[in-house]
Amino acid sequence: MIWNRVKPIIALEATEVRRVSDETLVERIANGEVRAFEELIQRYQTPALRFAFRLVGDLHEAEDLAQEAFLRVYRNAQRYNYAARFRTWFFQILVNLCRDWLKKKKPLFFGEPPQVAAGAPDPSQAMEREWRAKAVERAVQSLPPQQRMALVLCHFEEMSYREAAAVLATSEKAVESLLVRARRTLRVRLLEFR
Amino acid sequence: MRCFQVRRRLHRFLDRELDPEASRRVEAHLCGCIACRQTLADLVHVKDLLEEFRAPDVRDGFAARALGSALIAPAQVRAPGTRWFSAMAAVCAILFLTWAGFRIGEAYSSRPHQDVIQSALASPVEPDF
Repeated sequence: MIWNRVKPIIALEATEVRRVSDETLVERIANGEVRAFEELIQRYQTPALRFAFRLVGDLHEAEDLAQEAFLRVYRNAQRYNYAARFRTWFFQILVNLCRDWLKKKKPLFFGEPPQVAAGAPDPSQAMEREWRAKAVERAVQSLPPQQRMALVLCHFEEMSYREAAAVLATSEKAVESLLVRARRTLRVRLLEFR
Repeated sequence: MRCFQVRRRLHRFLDRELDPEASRRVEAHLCGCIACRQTLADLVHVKDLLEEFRAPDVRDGFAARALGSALIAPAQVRAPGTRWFSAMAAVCAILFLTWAGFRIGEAYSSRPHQDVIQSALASPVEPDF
């Protein structure tokens, strides 16, 4: 009984916690180990933020969504199904949060206009590169949310169709169909960069 | 393999989702078909362009903020057996409400109907001579 109260206070050794799997970390979070949660944030903060940014197009909103996803992991660690991969579960939470955010139909933030870095070797090339990057960003963000999610999961997060299907709660065939439509649209919208 | 069959599999081929045998057959077709190679090149071009969509890096302090927000709202640690206790309490409450409903219903049905008595008193039947 006393041990259960003391255990959360004891911080795990940093080297020990880095060796364990995500699933074990969730188990430890469920037991109240804060150090395990810290490690999980370190592992997933970059993919979470980038995923949310690519969906909502705004850094501050993306940070809020990623933070909320971590909070839900912490709160619901007890309910985690150990048969599923943590990555899939985490992205399911994040996808649901982003989906709710997108339903509110907030205008997408397209960022600052392209700027040339001072001292760039060839300003026209740098400008063109920036311009192209913005065009790609706009083209991706103009896709319907479900297509955008499938594209971001499979292309940027390098998930298999099966994993993406699990995250999006759909079939592999549906993921493939979403990707085909997304790429077809992008090919048309980015025709000028051929 | 025919062109339409290959084009149906090109996205899976690009994403390495085809099994080795199907991949070999697609590759064999691509070697001899300029049109399908062009379709694949278009897809590869889109995929390359997507690399331009860079996302920002995590800003300093994000991990600390995420950790802080979680620690302010502590994890819902559930004591073992709490779920069963809640379910039993809910069942007991439903049973009690059902029993109470029956008792109240019985009490009302055993009383004479006030409306009928009042209407009878208000309009007495005239004797028919």
